[in-house]
Amino acid sequence: MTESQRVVVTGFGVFTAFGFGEKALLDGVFSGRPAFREVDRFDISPFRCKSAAVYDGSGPEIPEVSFAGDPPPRQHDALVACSRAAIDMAGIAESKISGVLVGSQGDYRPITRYWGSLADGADTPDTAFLKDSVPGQLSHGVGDALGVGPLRMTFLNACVASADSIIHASRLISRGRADALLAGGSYLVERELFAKFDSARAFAKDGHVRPFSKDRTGLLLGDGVACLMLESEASAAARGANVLARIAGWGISSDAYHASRPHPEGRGTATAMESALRVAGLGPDAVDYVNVHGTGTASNDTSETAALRRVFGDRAAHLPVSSTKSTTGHTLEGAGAVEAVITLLALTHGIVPPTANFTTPDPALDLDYVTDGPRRQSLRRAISTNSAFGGANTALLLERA
Amino acid sequence: MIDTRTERLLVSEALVVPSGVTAGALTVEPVEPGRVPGFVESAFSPLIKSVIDRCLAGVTGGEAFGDEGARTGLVLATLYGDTVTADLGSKLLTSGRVANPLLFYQSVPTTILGVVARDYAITGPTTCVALRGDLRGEALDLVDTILDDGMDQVLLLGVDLATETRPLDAHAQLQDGGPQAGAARVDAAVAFLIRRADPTPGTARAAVTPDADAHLSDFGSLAGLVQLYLTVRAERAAAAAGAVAVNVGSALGERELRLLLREPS
Repeated sequence: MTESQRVVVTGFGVFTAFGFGEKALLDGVFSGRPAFREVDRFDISPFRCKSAAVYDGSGPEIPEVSFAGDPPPRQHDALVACSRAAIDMAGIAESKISGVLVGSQGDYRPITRYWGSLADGADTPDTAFLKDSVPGQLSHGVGDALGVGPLRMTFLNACVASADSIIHASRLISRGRADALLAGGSYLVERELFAKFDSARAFAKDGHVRPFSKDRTGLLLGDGVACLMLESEASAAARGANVLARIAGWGISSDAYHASRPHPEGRGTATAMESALRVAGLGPDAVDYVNVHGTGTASNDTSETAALRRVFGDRAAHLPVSSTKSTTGHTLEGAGAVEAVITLLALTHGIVPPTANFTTPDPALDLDYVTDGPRRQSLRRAISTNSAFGGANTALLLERA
Repeated sequence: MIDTRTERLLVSEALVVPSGVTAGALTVEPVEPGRVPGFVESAFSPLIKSVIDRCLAGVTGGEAFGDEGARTGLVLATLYGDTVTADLGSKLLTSGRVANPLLFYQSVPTTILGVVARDYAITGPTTCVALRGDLRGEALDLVDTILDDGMDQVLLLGVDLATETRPLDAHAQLQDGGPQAGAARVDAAVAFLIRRADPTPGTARAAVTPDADAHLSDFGSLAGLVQLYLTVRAERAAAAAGAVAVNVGSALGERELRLLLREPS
């Protein structure tokens, strides 16, 4: 067995409804300002829900990606822009990067165009960028556009997909299989998945995502794309690179409970966090903050609270825990990567981002959900958790450099 | 270039092709996957459930794993995912009809893996990966890495549906310089239960798994995994070799994975 290499983050690129880059996140997420607005990216009239956290052009623009008109831009373009930002921040040559791992279910936009053109009476379907609909192609297209090394993998395990891409990249680097890899994920709000969530009545009924609040009624979607430059500590040191944080541990698990509901006692999420602590060689006392999945649904928030109690015991009541989906919305396959960047910024800036929109305590949920605005606090280590349909769970343990 | 070799135990394997296949000397009997409650529109999820049930029938007798379920991982590998559900949902949407809420969760591959995990009490890592080109090398490399990360066994399944209409038009756009897999002409799923083994280098003669035969082109991205399945079945039937060797992980350096067909003595 190869001696384990430490995995570090040397760069990132991130895009949410607040816009592109670190400052947009600090101004939005870290001030507790929700980004939800009425969707004008496509015809919203057929749907019960009208809101999502969609980029409206007021925040910093993402380079070479236009949000003007319908349909929204390609996930491919947003992933390339975020990857280039990560590469530039890390100051690494593309030739030193062994490949790219992306969390995405594929881009649904060309599927809508294809079938929409036929429904509108076209003789032949609109096949523009149709290859983007093939999930396995997305990482290839991004890797080829960047000119990085040959590894290309797309993870399509729903809301843990980009966390899984970071986890697998970390495994490969820690085992000495690669010195540097890009890992991230993407979702941009579009009609197909909006319609499915709407038909399943999964959206918040009052237009607000209120994680852990007694009056929470569900989730809302959001734009979210992020890529992280991951390297072995030795590689970063040899280049003299600025290390932002370390991926100290990771865990991934299954609830083995239900097709669509999380385990009521948070068994799988607890297992993922315990695995991350075990990989890091740390106990629960070493963790200063948890950025939870926090969708604002009744079952998720109860399950996660139980998982935190299970792992952190009595200390859970005093551990800052927040859901930044209350400001960014649920960015689906992009969530793991976007929230990993938010967690990293919490460590580097010493600010716990708040849970926004909280109105009423739920007697069953009794942790410190940071509902009174951003909190300045020195943070050494933090965990980011995510969960997906079918009971898949991930945990990433980040450590300040 | 092969620079390292890993030994694992191949506990069991299964192949499900609802239509059956006859190509050259190859005959795969048709298998009806059966119904899975809640998954009614596409063959994708019933195929997954069926191939796993068959792969594990001789291992657990249809029962859930015991304590070893906590040290078992699940890896789903595909090129296209559930194209039937994706296209049906899109056709309903673009023609102005109400989307069926069932399509919501059927479209997510982790959902059927959650059903499998529940039925077999599997609580280890659940991963779904899409790869361009033939799935065999990178999917087996992923399995191997998860075993190295602390799991005792991993259930690998490869699944893709016959490539028609929209996926076929998308497939035509993949004919660039990257990895290639032919368009699948059949719905198929293949599964392998792979376990950590004490290394016994050189003790078992290994039959080399060739690249996928041209007769397997109907399987598209699964051709390499189906070739591995057929090589294993032939060796088990002949009781000739104690292992099969397969090259994996070509993007980060090719290496040999040696799959023992019986427990080392």
